[in-house]
Amino acid sequence: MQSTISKDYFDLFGLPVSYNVEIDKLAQCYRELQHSIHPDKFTTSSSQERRLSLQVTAQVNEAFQTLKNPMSRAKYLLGLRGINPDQRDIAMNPEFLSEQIELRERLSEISSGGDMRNELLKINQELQVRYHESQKSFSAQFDSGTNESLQTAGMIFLEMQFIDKLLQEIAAMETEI
Amino acid sequence: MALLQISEPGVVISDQRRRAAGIDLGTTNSLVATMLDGHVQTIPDDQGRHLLPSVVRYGKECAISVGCDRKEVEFGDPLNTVISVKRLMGRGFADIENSRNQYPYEFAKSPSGMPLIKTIGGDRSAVEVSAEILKKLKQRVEKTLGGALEGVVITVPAYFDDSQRQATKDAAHLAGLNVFRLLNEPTAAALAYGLDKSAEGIHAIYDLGGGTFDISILRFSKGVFEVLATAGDTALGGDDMDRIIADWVLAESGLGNESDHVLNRCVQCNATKAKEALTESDTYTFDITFPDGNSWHGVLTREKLNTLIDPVVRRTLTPCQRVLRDAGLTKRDIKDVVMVGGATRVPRVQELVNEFFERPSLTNIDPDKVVAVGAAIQADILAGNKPDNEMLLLDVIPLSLGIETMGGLVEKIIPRNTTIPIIKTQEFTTYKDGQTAMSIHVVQGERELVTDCRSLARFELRGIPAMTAGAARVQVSYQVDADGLLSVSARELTSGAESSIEIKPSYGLTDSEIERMLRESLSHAEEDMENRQLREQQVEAARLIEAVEAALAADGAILLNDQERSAIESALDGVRKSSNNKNYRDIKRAVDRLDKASAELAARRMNATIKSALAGHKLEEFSN
Repeated sequence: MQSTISKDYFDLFGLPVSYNVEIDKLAQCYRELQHSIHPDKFTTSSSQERRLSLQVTAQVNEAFQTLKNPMSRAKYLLGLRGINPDQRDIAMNPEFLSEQIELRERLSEISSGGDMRNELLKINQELQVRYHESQKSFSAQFDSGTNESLQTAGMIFLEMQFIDKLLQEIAAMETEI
Repeated sequence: MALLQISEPGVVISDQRRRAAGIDLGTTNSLVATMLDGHVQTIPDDQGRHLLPSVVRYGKECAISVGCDRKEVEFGDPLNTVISVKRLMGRGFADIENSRNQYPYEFAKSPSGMPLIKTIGGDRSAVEVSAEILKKLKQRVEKTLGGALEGVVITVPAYFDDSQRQATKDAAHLAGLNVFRLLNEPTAAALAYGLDKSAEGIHAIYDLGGGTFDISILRFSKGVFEVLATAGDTALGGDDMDRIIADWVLAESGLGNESDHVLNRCVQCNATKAKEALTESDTYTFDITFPDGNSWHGVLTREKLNTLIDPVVRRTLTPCQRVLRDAGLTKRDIKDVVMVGGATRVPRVQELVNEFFERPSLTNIDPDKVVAVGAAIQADILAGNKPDNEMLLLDVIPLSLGIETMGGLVEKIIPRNTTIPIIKTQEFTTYKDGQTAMSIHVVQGERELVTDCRSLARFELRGIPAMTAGAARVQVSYQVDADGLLSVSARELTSGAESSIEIKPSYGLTDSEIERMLRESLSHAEEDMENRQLREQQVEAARLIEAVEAALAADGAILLNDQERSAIESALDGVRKSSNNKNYRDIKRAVDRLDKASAELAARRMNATIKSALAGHKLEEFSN
């Protein structure tokens, strides 16, 4: 198989392992890397160099996409600490779950009439606030790094996943209007 | 004795420019452009015509003429005059069966299930027909440049799927062209447009051609053109408007007879004329004399035309909506909307697009030429004629790539709008105890059921050791290169055994079919094939020698120990000796040996490149 070009995705871009990533800086690093490795720079090179360029660029693309997106970044960080939140051994907060059910009900009511656009906007804003709060506490829990706080970070990640999914559904509903 | 002048390695002297060109292989018209005297220009034929109609006529005794004008198409021999062949690229026999009446040809089925157009000059695949168009453009530009092309960039609709891209590349191969890159048409247009205006920001490119529609959202930032998302429809374009107008004419005139190829072609040509005339004027008067002697007069107003074509134009707005959502943007984020493709001249198209994006779109560039110009700019850069150029294109894959799992469901492996190149791997396992083979079905599309997606290939992984169900670990790897072309491999991890893989493309030509066509197209087949392979291997050998020598000189001392170094040098010597050989297989063996010996050095150098690129970045930040 291909060799890996760095310890982890953060190392690749010369960034500290943390949830807080300056996206502009990441994007700038990414573009500069692309300037020296992209297959377009190797069109007339040997097939060995072209193959290598393809493999390395593919890894850099994957790393950039993973770190750029807040959800995949959180999941990747947990993975680095050996936590796989998809395995159902992390308990969810029951309060959070009932809140989610309530939000879903509100959404389904919207789709059956009323002032859709305004209602959607309202729920959207509420969720955005929640999302930012979750991101902040995820970051804090992850950075503290104890076993217990990493488990908590895993639970917060699952909450973020719920909210993210709802936000996407709302975006889809908004474009349909 | 006068000293001979030798340039520094890697520096291209102006009169040693590598000959490169950009080709827009369009549904209706094709163009070729190249860098001449410091400017990108589209190249005309002897009579000064820049557009080459994408029309190939087959005659008796292997006569083939490319680029007949409209009159010839209208009154000529429709069964042997192939138009809009791009719509058939990468399509299977079953695809065209559903829309048979759109094509005025008789079809035969190839052994691999590809549709072949029956002509007087034999049964021809879409790939062969396209290759004729490419050959014509190749001749044109090589005559202008005074020598053989080193390579070309060929544009394809951004929304072309894997089979359609592969078919385009096959056609180029058949035409004897070296493809530097397949470039998405809207991206090419953006390149030509963006470099021209040095426009930073986010732009939408609305590209409605003769038979395809693309909408792409790009960000230009510091020389990097980053495609954020793309959407479209590869069976939607100006042709569809023509067909609607033609149907209207047939209905109004009462002459409707779908099976009459000659009549249909004649009406279709008149429909095209009407559509074009109505971009300028408010009414168009048909005055048609049909091949059978009947005639018809009638008036089509712009208002009526708008009503007729409205459904076609509105179909483009759904992808516009989706592309914004995929890019995570709203209409307000778009700096401007650039119109590309001949069909964007239709006023109704402009009206609806302006209405959708809530601003006037840019129609000030020549929508016919901009794609070829962009392709030529890219070709010039890829050829290495501009070593200091900072321009870089980052494109995406238009449709998700997946694999069939139990129950006919699709598991997505690479989601649409992922930046390419990309490699993704996923593990699968066996379903039954003792299962020793696995059938892998590669599909492309957004739907959840396999039957709703496009089948790209099927292959079997054999030699899995017999284990209980769920114990085997089969790693499937999808690799999409910078042309947007997919290759798939699979292997079983627990055994570590390499397993045999046989790929059967669902649509498209097999390697042996391509080789057969190639042989047929060359006059002294056997000898030419040998020569061609010999030349290809010699080029590869020369490139590898140059690359390895440069690597040794630059970093050999730091990155290699003595043993590693001497292994590489001995392999290098082997290639040097073999390249005078007339047998391409010998050269290939030596090249493969050197490739293996120097792989580690190349990888270490790439790592060093990455480190230094980042170091430069950090220094710059420091100084700011």
